[in-house]
Amino acid sequence: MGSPWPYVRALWLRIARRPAPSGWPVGAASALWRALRAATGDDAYERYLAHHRLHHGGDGVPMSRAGFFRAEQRRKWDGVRRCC
Amino acid sequence: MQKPDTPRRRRWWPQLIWAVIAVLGAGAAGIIALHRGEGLNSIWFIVAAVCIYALGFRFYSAFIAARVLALDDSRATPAERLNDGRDYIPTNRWIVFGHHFAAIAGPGPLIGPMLAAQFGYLPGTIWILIGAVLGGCVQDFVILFCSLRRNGRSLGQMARDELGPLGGAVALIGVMTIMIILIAVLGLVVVNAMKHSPWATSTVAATIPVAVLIGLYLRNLRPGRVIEGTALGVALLVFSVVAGGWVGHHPVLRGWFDYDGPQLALMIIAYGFAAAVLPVWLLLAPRDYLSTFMKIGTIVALAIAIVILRPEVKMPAMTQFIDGTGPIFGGTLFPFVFIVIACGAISGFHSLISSGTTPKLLGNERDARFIGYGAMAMESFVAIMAMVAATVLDPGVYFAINSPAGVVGAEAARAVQTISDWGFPVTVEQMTALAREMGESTLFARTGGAPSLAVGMASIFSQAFGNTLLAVWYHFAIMFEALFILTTLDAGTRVARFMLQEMLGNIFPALGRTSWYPSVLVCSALVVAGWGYFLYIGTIDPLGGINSLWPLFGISNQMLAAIALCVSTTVIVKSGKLRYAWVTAVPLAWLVVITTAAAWEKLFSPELRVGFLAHANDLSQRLAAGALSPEKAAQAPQFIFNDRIDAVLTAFFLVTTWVLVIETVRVCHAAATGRRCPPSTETPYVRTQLAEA
Repeated sequence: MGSPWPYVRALWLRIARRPAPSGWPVGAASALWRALRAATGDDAYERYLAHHRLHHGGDGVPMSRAGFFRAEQRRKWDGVRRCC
Repeated sequence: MQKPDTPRRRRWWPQLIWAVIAVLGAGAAGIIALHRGEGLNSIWFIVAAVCIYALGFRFYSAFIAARVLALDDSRATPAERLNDGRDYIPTNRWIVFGHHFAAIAGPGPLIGPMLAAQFGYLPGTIWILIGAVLGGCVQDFVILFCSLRRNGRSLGQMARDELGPLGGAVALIGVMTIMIILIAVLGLVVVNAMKHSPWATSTVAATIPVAVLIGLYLRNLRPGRVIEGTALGVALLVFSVVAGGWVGHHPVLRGWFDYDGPQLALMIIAYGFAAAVLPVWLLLAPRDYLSTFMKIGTIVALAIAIVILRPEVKMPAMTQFIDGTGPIFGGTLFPFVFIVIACGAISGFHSLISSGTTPKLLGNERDARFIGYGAMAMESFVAIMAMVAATVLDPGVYFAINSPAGVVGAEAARAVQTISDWGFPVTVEQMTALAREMGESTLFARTGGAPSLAVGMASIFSQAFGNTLLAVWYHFAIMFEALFILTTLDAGTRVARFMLQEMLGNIFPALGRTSWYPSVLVCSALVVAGWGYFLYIGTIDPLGGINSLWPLFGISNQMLAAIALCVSTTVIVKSGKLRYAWVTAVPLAWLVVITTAAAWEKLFSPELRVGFLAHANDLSQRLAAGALSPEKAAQAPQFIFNDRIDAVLTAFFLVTTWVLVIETVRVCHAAATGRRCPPSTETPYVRTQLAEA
């Protein structure tokens, strides 16, 4: 028996990659959740992966989630971020 | 891209709706302006503000977008052309709006109106509304546009490119000094809220380990799960407010968190230095998530509560303090109401955000109007809510909380006597009962605006949400203010440190390496020492510190706005739109008038609480004559020195503003008459490839 994680992961990806549900109320709740994730930057890593697939094709391995988060934070705080 | 014109019937109902909004706005503004005596409902402030912002956005910003700037949604934005997936990314307009608003919204619009309410509700409200619609929103919008057309360049770079090297240097030094003063005054606000309050101090102290915990969670446990981390952090913060109550009532524990002003100032200084040299992920970044969430959540809750409750305004429209004798800060209505309101009407600081991250995220040039103009209208609305929170307090209570002991007297009996003699009745019993309700030992002389805002918010929240936990609401409000004041303090120290490293790097190249640790330590220490000095002096100043620091901050912030408007005007003139230059030139002229008048008074007024030099001279004469008590005589040389430093800074602001204005007039004149001047640096037109445009 190997590790179960690849199967769990594959199953999760199948659930997560389903097309967004539509209709009331599940569709509305899902849209709200997606909007919240986008607004807070919670989905930044997924967006980065999508960008990486689209623009850099097969060349290079994308950063890991932790690595991406660190790089983002370093970059973000390199300037004026707060007002009075 | 414009859709081809299809013939269609002109609809009549939008015009009708706008006519109704105009009538409603004018009616509400009229009620606020003409109402005298008791019983003005605060809902009129909300109605007037919303209608005026809506009209300003619908008509004035549309005029600016179409005629003055000629926004073109077929032009590719920097986010599209330079898309690197990191700094430059075309992003959904609502998300950009959220980021932009979160970045420009700070403690300023909450504190400014709270202090300006000493003139009564009317002057401040008028300036917040007019200043925002014709000045602040326009500044943010035009600077965002300028930066959009220049690959997202910063204000300093644009000042250098469009006005010459002098403009760039003035902008850089201006930003540095405003940062130092800003941090000092914000630190003072937090110190005054925590002074001898174990509950407030322990709650604010608890925000530090909470932030560190969330930092570790977001970095190591669940990288990048921002929503989870924030939800956990907010729960812990609410718990720390409640736990602070236990600490405050515990006979031993309360002693650990009971400090006076100067002690707290030293702690804030130590904290500021630690926060500046620690890695961002540990403290600053998680604190920023938490404070952004708390800020937006609390502001929305406050708006809902005011609409539900519709509390009555108790402050008169105008008080006798328009003559300059006000206890909270000295100075007459003109020019000080404009200086003190600061960020709620027009804030130079916003131009740094409008020319920083935001222009690199816009996918469509046309959205500059919604984001630049719209976000500032919302920020100004926050200022209106702070004004409501200030004016629904009993004026006697408002003045008792906000007047420094050096003006009304240190003993409670004398303070209430002085304030009641002004015509704002208040009793010692009333103040004691209020302090007990709020879970504090005293609310006298808690200057800086945060405690009175917290009292106002606590009474609004507890009534609107059917809850009587006044003390918890009060400390929640204090925690909420302290949280984002400390975020601004950390972030500001960091930015000032970068700038200092950049400047010193020209002389000692080693210090210019931003990640070289000795340089980080030295430059952070210098920046912290800069604001720490003003903060410490502020806590021992018998006039309360806010009296001298807040106007100085207001002047520097308005001066930065003047720099931004100089750049905007130059860009408009160079684009051949001389006849529309008034859009930015009129607010610029007004800012130059008020900053000059205010700076002049702060320098040369014979009034001791207004003029820095008059105060210094008076103090040194009394010191020489031996008329001071030994304790005051020991401190006097320090205050004299501080007054002179404040005077030098004011003079510096005055001179740099005028240098830049003269430079702007020269460059604009040269551009309008076809003489030699730095050419416009607008990037050439590229057609957009984005489908949605």
